[in-house]
Amino acid sequence: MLLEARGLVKHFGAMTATSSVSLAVKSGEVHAVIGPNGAGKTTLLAQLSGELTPDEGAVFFEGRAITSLSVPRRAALGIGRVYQLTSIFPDYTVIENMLLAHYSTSGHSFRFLRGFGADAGARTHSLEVLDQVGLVERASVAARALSHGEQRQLELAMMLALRPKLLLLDEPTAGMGIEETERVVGLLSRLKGEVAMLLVEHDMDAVFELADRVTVLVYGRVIAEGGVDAIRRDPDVRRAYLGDEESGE
Amino acid sequence: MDATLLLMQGLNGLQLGVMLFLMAAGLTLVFGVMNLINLSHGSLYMMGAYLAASLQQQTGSFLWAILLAVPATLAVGMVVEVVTLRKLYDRDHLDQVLATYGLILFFNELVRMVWGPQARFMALPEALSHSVVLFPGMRYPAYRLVIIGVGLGVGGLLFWLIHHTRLGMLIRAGASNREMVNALGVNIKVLYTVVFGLGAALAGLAGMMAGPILSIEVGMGEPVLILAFIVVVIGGIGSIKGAFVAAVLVGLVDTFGRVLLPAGVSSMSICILMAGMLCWRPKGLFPAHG
Amino acid sequence: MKRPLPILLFGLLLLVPLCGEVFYTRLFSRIMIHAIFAISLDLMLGYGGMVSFGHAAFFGAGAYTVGILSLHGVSSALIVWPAAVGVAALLALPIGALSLRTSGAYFIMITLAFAQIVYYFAFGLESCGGSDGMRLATRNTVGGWAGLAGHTVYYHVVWGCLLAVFLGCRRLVGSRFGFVIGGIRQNEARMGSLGYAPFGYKLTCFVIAASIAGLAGALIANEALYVSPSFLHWTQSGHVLVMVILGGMGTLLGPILGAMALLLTEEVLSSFTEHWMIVLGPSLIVVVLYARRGLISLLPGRREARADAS
Repeated sequence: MLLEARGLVKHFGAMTATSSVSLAVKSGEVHAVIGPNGAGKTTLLAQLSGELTPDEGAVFFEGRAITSLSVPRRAALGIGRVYQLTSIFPDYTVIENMLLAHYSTSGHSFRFLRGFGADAGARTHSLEVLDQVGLVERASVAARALSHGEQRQLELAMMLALRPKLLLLDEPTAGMGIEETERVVGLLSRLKGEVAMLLVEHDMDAVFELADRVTVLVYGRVIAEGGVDAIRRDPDVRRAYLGDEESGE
Repeated sequence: MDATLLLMQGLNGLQLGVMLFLMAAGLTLVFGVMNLINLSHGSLYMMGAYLAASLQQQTGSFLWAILLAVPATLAVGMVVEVVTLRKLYDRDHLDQVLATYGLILFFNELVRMVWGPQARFMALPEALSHSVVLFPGMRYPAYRLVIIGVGLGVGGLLFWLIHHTRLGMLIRAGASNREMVNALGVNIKVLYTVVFGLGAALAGLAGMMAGPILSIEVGMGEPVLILAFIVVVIGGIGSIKGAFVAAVLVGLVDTFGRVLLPAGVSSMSICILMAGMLCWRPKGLFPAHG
Repeated sequence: MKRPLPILLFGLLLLVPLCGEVFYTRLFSRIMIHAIFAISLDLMLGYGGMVSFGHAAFFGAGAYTVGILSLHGVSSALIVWPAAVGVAALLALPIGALSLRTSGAYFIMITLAFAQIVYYFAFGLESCGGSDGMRLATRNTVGGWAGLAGHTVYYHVVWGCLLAVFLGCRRLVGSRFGFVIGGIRQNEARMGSLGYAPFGYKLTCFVIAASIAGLAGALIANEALYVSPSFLHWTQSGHVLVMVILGGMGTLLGPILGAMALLLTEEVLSSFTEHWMIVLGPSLIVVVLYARRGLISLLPGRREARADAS
């Protein structure tokens, strides 16, 4: 098992945002977490990435307990995080954003003299990844000048440059137009098999296209878990969540 | 140190504490509600002292001087808010720090031009210029007791205002949710001006009460401002309760530090207190925001 | 040449002593020393996103190192100046480590408070004249040579220091470390999820900035031939912030222009009226409100300074 969460509990004051949630992601698998707004999906993701520490329960990565590790430490183990709101470095160019990601995997950065972009190997690798997400011709544009969809692509590319074993994706298609959504979903499905993903997503088409397994979260509690088809057929899920989705189709 | 001296110093510490509270209350309110760091808060303290000193000269009465100078500082505060600070609420802290730094330079020079560079002194009224016997063997200046009383009284009033009145409800709501206050149909601009004026009046009151104890001079507000900042940091930004607890704590530590520690170290006791607090609780004693 | 402006600026600065007036030579020495001070602040403010209101602590620490060592008969610049840099760095280590536990408004107030401790400490240093400060008999020497006493020679030494700091910082901000610091400024959370631990980088930046401020302090003590608590006063911290913002933060040329503009403005205003602060204060507010990009944005062909802080 690549990632395993056991009995996670998180309270915010009187509210229980996560209520004994367990889930497991295998290597190379795409695991989706769905649920209505306020179900605690982002809170769950934050506990897996290390931004929040669970009140109870434990998180394991490749069999090792990581519950108390910080975000940078988990990132160094191979957990990449894509945020719900776009999170890039707006003042830097696309390639500079990529280099920053690349260098985080190669030793410390207390290097004060050599120029930032001077490492040819790092540049080549960064350009390769940019090519993979289709941003290579935008390499020298300032990140703030990119369209929203392009910024999401850049964010994804930065995560890929880390060569993670697991990507935590919080609504990667949020706020995107149809064309941009298709591009990102296409990119993710090409990555499928290379890297495991834990995906929080509202777009059910995307979920059913990408996911191998699905966990359904309602009010911080897991109400169902299983393969895509099983989840589609699950009466509890239909009642709690998919009901209006189905009628809308 | 015997018990009498201990008690004396305790009262001195409390007296410094309530003065700091009057300063810090305004700072922390303005910070909590408008998210504004106001370096020029010390200038309002100074303006309060100078206005009171002038009014005392004009009216010949200490009480009238205070009663008139408080609303006058309130007015000065409101004018400053309307003319400049209002434009700074949605700026980052750096801009606020710079602009209010500019205000300090302005006020210091203004005071120097209007009142001259020499220090001034305020005379105490006859009734307050003696010492009272607290118990056999211990006399304490009446005026300092008055300061403590006024400080505690104003503190209580402020607490009541924040927690039991409509204005207080709006202030608390404004600190956590601006949109909500707007939705209540309250003119947030007016609310902000009022809150700032209130903070200014409190700082002015502290300044004019300090008048008879300290000399009134250009730049007198700045050491107090820095102490008040330390109070706000220790108490937790935005918390009146925190400001009170921290102000008394800082007042006591500073006063006893001066008595007990060698000269070079004593002035640093407060900052050591702050450093310790930071290690222990980086968000202050009573953090109002998360 | 790719970068004509710095070359032009440094070239023009070389012409100042040729006018032959000691007054101008010394004025511009002071300007260049403050430019070094301002660059050091900009390193943490404009590049690192750390708004410090206590940078004078390190400036003063450098100056006092010169004073204290002179009391002990140490006058060689080759010992004293590195010592000033080292003292500032050592002071910055605990102050930075504590202050960086906080952020935003807390950081501003805490750096101010720490600078005040250092100020009071200097105030109580009886051996250095307490609140009056102390005079220095001579400037530091270089291997027994007392030539720095000449204002023109000293001017060129300061010029060299400014150039070295400018070039060194340009190297630094273009390095991997510099980009990491800038990344932390723009998006600290993202840096964390990339696997960088921000604290160590921020603290290193804080200490480097403080060291350079320490050098500026050693230079100002030698220029003025005295040290006093006024070097540590919190208005010094305010002034240097103003220089950075006025010139344009997040650039290295900006702080030089800012130091020049502010000190020259002071010089001109104070020749008209002793109450020049009454003009400076409101002008500062106007600059903050309406001209936030700094002088550097007025220059042709320059990348604009960033208007955002953190």
